[in-house]
Amino acid sequence: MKLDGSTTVAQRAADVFDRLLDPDFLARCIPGCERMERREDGSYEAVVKAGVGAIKGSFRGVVTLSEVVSPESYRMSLSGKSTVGFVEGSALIRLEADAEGEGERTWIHYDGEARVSGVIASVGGRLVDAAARKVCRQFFERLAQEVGQ
Amino acid sequence: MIPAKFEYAVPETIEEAIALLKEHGEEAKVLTGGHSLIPLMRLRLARPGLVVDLRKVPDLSGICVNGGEVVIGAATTHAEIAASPDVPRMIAETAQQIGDPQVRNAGTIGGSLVHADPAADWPAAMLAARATIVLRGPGGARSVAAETFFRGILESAAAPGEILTSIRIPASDAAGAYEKVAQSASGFALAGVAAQLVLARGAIGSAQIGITGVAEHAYRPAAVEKALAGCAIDAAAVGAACAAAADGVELLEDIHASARYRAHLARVLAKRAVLRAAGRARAS
Repeated sequence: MKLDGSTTVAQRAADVFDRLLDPDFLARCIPGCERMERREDGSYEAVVKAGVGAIKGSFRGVVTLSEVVSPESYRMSLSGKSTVGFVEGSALIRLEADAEGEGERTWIHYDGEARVSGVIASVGGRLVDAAARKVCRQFFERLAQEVGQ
Repeated sequence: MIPAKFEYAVPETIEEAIALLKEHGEEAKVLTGGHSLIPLMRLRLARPGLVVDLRKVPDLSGICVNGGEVVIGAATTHAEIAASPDVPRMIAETAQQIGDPQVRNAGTIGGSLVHADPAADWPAAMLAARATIVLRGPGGARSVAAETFFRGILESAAAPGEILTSIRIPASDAAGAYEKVAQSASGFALAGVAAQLVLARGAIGSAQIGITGVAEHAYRPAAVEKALAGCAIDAAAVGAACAAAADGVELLEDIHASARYRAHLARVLAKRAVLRAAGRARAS
């Protein structure tokens, strides 16, 4: 499943970039995130409660950042497992100064793919894509909110 | 296929049921027909700590007509509604097309509405009938218009701790129809369109449409309803009016049907439902 989109935030690219690497900040933006810690190898370990309606799963996973070009772009890869299934994905996050924002506004573009497998994918296939898009959308809404403060 | 461990409660009054939900919060799930919840529990996609079985609560089931308004109890099964002489024909027709006989005999309208599956049949019919959904929680009862009840995938306006008690369908002399293309394994709608309309001067006077299975939740295509007002009853004119049936919504897509195909189905089924409803309105 492809996940892509863009959002703008009212901050300079360099500031946004730093915050996107901050586990506490990310934990506040990820819907249902219960724990997020930076590990010694630079990756992040997270516990995220995700679900729609009656379906609920607690995902335990690892997020790895690579191809980091500060303050322009990085690749975020994640792999998680839960009682309801598995999720794997990778996305390129790209920051771009808003042409009309005089450097004070930044576009965040994300373009990635995710693969969900296990029970949730085999029986809830038609719900999974939409649920993933929703989580993604919520993440960036919260991010814009957090940054705006 | 064996559920995770859970507690089971069988309250005998609605107040007792609401108190149990309040006490156990998100851990508790309500059971009536069990045709959405039990499969999820068996797959362990849902692991409620407590299942509150409403089947012993009186007055939750049955259909009554009150000054023209039809009130359907939340625990009324699809089969009971399909066989009822008291509900509008479009409502009975929707019930008849849900799932298979087992689902219709055990599954309930309230359970289906609260579960809020984006491909369930009832939401389309509720929107077209301009139904009101009655919820009861610790703070008392409140009514929600169908139009604002469906919020997203498996998400409705029912708050945790609230129980859907009945559905009220306003009195109407409109004729209606429900058209669907089902996913053949599950019986869920790839797309389903309910239409209800009244005629005026030989044309369509006003139409109310509900569409399910196509987007993250069922919706009313306002542009189609507008185009149908005053529309001549012929296939070409109705088809043109229904062209916007899937406009402006984020389309669902899965291995069974692409977004484009779902949009196509929405347009075709809207046209069919409207033409059939118009035929019934003429005949009556």
